[in-house]
Amino acid sequence: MNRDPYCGSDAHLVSRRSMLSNMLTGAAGVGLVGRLIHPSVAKEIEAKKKQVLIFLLNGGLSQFESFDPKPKTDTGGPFRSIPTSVSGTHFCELMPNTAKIAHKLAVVRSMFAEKVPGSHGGARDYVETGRPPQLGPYPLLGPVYSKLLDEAGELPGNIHVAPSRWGPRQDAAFLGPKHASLVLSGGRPPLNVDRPASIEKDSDDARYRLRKIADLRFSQRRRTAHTEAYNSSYDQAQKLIRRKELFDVSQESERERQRYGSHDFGRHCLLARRMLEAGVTCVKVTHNNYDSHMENFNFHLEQLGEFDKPFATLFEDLDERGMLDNTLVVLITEFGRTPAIQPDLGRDHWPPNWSVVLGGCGIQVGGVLGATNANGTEIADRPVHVAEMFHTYMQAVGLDPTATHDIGGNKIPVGAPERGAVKELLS
Amino acid sequence: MSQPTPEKKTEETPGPKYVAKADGADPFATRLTRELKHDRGILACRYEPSSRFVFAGALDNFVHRWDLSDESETGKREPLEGHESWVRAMCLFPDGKQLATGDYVGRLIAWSDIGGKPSANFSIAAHEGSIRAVSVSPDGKLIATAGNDDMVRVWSADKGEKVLELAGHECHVYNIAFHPNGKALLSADLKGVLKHWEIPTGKHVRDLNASLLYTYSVKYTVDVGGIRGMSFNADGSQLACTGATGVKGIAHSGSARVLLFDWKSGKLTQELKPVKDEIATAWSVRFHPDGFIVASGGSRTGGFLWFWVPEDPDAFHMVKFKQRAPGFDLDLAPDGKTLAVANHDGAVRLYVMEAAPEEPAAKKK
Repeated sequence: MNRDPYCGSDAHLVSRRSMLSNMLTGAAGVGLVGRLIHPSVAKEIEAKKKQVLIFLLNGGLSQFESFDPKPKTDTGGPFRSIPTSVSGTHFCELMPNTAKIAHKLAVVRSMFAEKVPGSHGGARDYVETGRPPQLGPYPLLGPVYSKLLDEAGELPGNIHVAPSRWGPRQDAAFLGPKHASLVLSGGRPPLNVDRPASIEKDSDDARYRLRKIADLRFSQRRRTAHTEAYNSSYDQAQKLIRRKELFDVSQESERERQRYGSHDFGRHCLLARRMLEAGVTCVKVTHNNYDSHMENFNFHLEQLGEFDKPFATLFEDLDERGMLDNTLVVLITEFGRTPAIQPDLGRDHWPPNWSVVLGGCGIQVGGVLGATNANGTEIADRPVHVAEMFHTYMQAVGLDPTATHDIGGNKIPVGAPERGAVKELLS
Repeated sequence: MSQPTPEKKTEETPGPKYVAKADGADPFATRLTRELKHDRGILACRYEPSSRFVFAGALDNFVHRWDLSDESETGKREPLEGHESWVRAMCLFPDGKQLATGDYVGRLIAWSDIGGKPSANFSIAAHEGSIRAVSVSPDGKLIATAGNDDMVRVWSADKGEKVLELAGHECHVYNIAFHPNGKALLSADLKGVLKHWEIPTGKHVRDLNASLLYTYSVKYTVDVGGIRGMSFNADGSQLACTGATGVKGIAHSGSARVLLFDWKSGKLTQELKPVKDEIATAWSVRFHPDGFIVASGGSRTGGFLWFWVPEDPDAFHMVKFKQRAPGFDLDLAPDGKTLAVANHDGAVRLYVMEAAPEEPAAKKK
């Protein structure tokens, strides 16, 4: 009998997926009226703990068409660079709104990793764990923050606002399913958050209490990862039901929704703001898709045209609410794109160098770290490894990346032990 | 009738075969005759009426003029300065002495004396974002531009003053063409919507539907496709639009297509397909005076010329380029037998649709 609560079995994943993403109606029954979110309430929450907002630009954002433009070179593409709010720093013209908040950001133009997997999934894992996926699995950022920062409040510690067709996955590795991302596919709330009309509230409450008693008796004799996963999933499901209004962006004013844009990504950013205001520890928003093997310029024009404004708007909103003091903002992508422009005007995968952006809590902002050469084919100054960035993401929110996870008596380093944080990025 | 002398590979399909006219162009005999080399990919090309010069736009910020009278292997190339980004939009004036060009950041330049010492007659910021296409009216008095700001604009050709501002497209406008009668302007967008505008009033007349060339990729959450090439036949009774169908996302192209429309009814009359439904995009198209249609295109797997007769959806001939480079644009020389093709690998290639002269027979001893 497996008594290791963190055995890494896929069964944990399945149980959690089925309960948190579909919100088993049997778990329903506690008060369904939630609080409306108000910034003043959020401030109280934020004053107590650190939060993290991660933007994943899925597919591989082109550094040329974003934060490391090389106009008028053989690799630079057709777009111009524009000045930013930081004197001497230029972004690609596809990011005019982000350029205006550059003084609140730190840009790293010299990200790299060795032996990056060709697959997007593997490369994403590398970026979010700081370890080559072939050595893993290791938990992604969200689960790590959930484990180390979350105070087991009313909401899950780790929510991923994902594009449609993205489902849950076991991204918590040895941390266990309790910390795996709650994936809101297409920004939609978990299914079945309403108690079926056929079940009265009192009887549902009674069912829940009965289940708790049974669980308690069972777990006193046979505590396993399975029972823990079931219990935490039921409990979290109940918490979500209490706060189901959190997922309803329509509760925001028309003006607010217009500020973020009428497209999915704008809606997802507004949803992320609501979650951070409500106290969720780590929110990840994924924007799809930058894997522009053909017509890179058309697609970056389209995608960054969608990304730029909501990103800058959300960042500014967090700043106005005073939340950046306690919220780390990270913009990541799995690799860069080739300097060479391919025959169908695409750019392929390029792990030798790319850009990431940070802001908010614990970050020294208003500058650029690292540089690439004139046409972006190689790093010219201060290479920054993805493992160093993982350490930095931890240290920025006051966590010790050199500490260890204690997993069933095994001590596993939080960050890759051979690397350390990037001091220049930390305030 | 000459024998096929393909560059690399010739494939014929069943159905009506095209028969070249006496002294006409012979697609089956298409052969590469000259490469005009550059160190950047070429996006657009146009013959100057005397055929002495070929103009091109490339992955740099210049309009390039090749002097074909120069007999050096690569041709004599002269870059014309003035643009701020890549030049893809290019159209000759009917007088053959002027050229209108547009770049990726919205600048429109009208060049004069293009057969002598070219200079910018005017240079204006015409669009926010790329100018995707430019067209000059048959009387040479108007220049129409289409851009990424979803707008169509019409300018006076002599001074660059805005004459019409045509709003209505709901996405990037990819192409534009004046009808040969000069009384209509047609604009085409990413989602395959064609808008017919009355000239000179600018009144919107009707929409034509080329949405076969558009896909929304759920997986990649992007709009994919668009009308890449557009051309009327000489009397304006037919319109050809090019692009690709079935594009799955942003990583791989779909299947090249040329759609034919009957101008009067606005109805789609033919969906022209390549020989083997190659994974490719059809980028450019021309109606040949001899009655066939030729399009260029390709993807990273290769570049092609395809030939059709309007009555048959299946191509009667294909030329696959030796180089793995799509043909982003093509133009027909005034002789009707030579095609200039803009290739991504940094060359304008000239193909002659005529059999090579026979080598003199070796004298017998």
